[in-house]
Amino acid sequence: MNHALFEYYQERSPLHHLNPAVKLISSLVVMIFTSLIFDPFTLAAITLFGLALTLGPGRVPPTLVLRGLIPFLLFGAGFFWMNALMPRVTSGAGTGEELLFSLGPLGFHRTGVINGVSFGIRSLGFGVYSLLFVATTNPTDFILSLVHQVRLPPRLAYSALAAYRYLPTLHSEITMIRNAHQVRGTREGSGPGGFFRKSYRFTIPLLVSGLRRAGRVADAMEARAFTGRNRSWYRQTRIGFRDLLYVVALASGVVLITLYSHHRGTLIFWGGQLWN
Amino acid sequence: MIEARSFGVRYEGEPDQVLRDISFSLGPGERVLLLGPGGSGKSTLLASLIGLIPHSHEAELQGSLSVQGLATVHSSPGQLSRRVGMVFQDPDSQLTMLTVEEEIAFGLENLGIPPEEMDQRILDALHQVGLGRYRTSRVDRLSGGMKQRLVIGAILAMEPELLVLDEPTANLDPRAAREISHLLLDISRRRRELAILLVEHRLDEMAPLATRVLLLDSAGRLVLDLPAREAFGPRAGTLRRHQVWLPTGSAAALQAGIPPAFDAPPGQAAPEELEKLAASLNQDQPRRDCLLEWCQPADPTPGDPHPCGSETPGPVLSLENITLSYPRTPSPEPVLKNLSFSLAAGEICALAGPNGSGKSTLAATAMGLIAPQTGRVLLEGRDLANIPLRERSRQAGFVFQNPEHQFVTDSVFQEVAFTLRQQEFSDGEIRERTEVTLETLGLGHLAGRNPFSLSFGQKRRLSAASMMVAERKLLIFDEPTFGQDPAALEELLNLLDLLAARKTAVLIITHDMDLIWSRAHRVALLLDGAIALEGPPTEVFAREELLHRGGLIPPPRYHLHRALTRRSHRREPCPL
Repeated sequence: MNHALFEYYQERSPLHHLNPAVKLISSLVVMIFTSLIFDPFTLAAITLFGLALTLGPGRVPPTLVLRGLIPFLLFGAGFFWMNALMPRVTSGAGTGEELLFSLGPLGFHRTGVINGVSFGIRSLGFGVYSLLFVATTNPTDFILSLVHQVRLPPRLAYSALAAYRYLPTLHSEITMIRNAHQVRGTREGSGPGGFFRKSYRFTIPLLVSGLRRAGRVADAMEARAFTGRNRSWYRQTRIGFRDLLYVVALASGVVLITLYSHHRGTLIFWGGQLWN
Repeated sequence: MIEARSFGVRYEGEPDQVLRDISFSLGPGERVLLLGPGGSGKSTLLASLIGLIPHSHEAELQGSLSVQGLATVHSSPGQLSRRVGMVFQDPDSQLTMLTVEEEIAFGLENLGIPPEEMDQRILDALHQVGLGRYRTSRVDRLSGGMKQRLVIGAILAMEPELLVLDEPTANLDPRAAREISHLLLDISRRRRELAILLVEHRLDEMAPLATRVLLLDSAGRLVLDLPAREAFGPRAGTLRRHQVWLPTGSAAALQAGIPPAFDAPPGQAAPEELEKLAASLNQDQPRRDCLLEWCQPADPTPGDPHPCGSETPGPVLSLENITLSYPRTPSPEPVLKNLSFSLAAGEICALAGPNGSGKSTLAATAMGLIAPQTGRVLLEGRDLANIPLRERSRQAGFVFQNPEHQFVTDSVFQEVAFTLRQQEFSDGEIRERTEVTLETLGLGHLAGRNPFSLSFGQKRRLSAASMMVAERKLLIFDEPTFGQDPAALEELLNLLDLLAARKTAVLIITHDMDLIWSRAHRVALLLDGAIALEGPPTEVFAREELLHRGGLIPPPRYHLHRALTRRSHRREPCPL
């Protein structure tokens, strides 16, 4: 049973074979870059580029992509509404703004709508580039590459892995506690008091079992000679030619899109927006 | 291999020693079973062998304990684990990695084995534990038994000289437990030098493996150190006095008042030995009767038979054509498939089946915690969907497997009183009933403690107490016997009888075949979301093949009972 919307998809695609650290850092760089772009056209093109990479060389099924993007779609829609309705906050311009259309008392101004659309698309872009990383990266390889390429101490890395493995258990444990309390007929009442009491009752068993499990995991790892030092590695994640190729391809794609947009005259690059 | 001299342990901040004055030595190739009642320090001794005590869990040590000449006080778990491999109870918290081969590699990496050597070691280990085909499988897709075999494989790959196991089969179904015992025997035959030290409650499976038995008493002293043949034979009475589990053969002999003998070669099926025991009682009618009573199944017709003509009351619980599937799961297969099931007042019914067959889902559906897609659940003839939540929780109770999930107050007393308060009893009555219930379950002296500070067995009894204190129409138990020692178990079983006598309908989800045999009026075997087999234990246990598919194995008491009754039929047909 897996309820995660956002998870690793087992495949053997070209993107799956890339070094996880390289993939993570390049995705992050693209996300930072898109934060500096403020027009819907360029953002949409970069987002579509990422989507094409995920579906094409990443071989992630479209249904999975769509499922993973749901939260970002909602997020994006929220951003759109917020910005479209409050042009003054986002554009700094304001009065005498061209009114595109109105819905009852709500007026949609040009700058607001443009900002709203780009915010929405940017959030979707974040979703796409995160998904590109998460869906094509084996968690173990990711941890290994953090150790090998980013020099994360093994003790920390393996704790992170243990925590990752605990997540599905945590989910089912919460359901079980809810059921168990319901069977006992607890009534917390509504309002903040009820919420507090309920949280208290949930926290103790979760904390107790979490700590106990952490203790057991630590014991079991120590009992298998884990010290974090003097280890050998069954698999070594390395940075190779294809990682370089990927970075070059991704960078040139994004740069070309930006240049083309500039050529068309649609590009709005960061010029102090949201700064003050 | 192990050398203990007046070894003792006291945990930081605890007044009493957990272990005191332990002296023994253990040589290569020995297979030792460590027995003792709950809290006698068995796990502490095992954890000391690998240095977790005192290096990870602070404790004050006396005397000395060394493994292969390494004193555990001065050697870290990292050093000791090159010589000692340890298998714990819960398979999930021992697995670190995401795939089978990575899991085996993890230990090898820690030892600094060069990667070129790992492939062969991984292959050998997987082959030895029968997981050759699963090399690249994800660990979370394996069954509990396979996970535990993987843990053993991962330890074997590290080539320890001593293998230490702390209740390795406690979380497994009977078939998986038997597989572990066969695996251990197989391993010890292949690696003659490997010493094994084992803590285990499933003695019918594990006792034949042992060459030697160590017994700790409740104060943490070593009171018996004998060859297994003697410990489970002439000295079985001593073991029983110390409240530890015995192999059924030894327990039966003690019951019948004849000297127990234990000389089964490892791997021999228990039934043959019990047949012999039954045969030896051919001429001894009183002893035979006494034994027969001991291994008698529950009467399949509970309560008083209804006088002719009177109306039979409807079932307390009935599930009608339930189909249920969880949304958002990868497999569209329903968990319960057009399942119908009913339970009468005063009936104790056991629900058995492999993990994932839908047992918990069925129970949750019966409690109204999950709504089925089709079909309905009736509680005393009323559709559960129409009964308000509060009334539902008054009519039906559920004792969860993890007792902590159910605790909603800060003291043992309040925990039980909470239930009575829900049912609007008067204060005086609440106090009286709570005290009586706590006393019956041996929790009276703990009334003021925080529920979370109890031992595991006590927590289980407390959660049972909080459900049993009010008279409910329906009670569901999830693995009630898990982690209980013989004395506590006896209390719990007596309470089940009491419930049945009070006309409560009881449903028990369990892997405990002995519990099914001795208490259940009826067993339902759930396979792949449907009831594959249903009937009194005598009938269900006769279908061994189908049972085996469900991970179940009839208990030795069943075989003993059959052996005894078969003879009685042959010699003197129908004495009643």
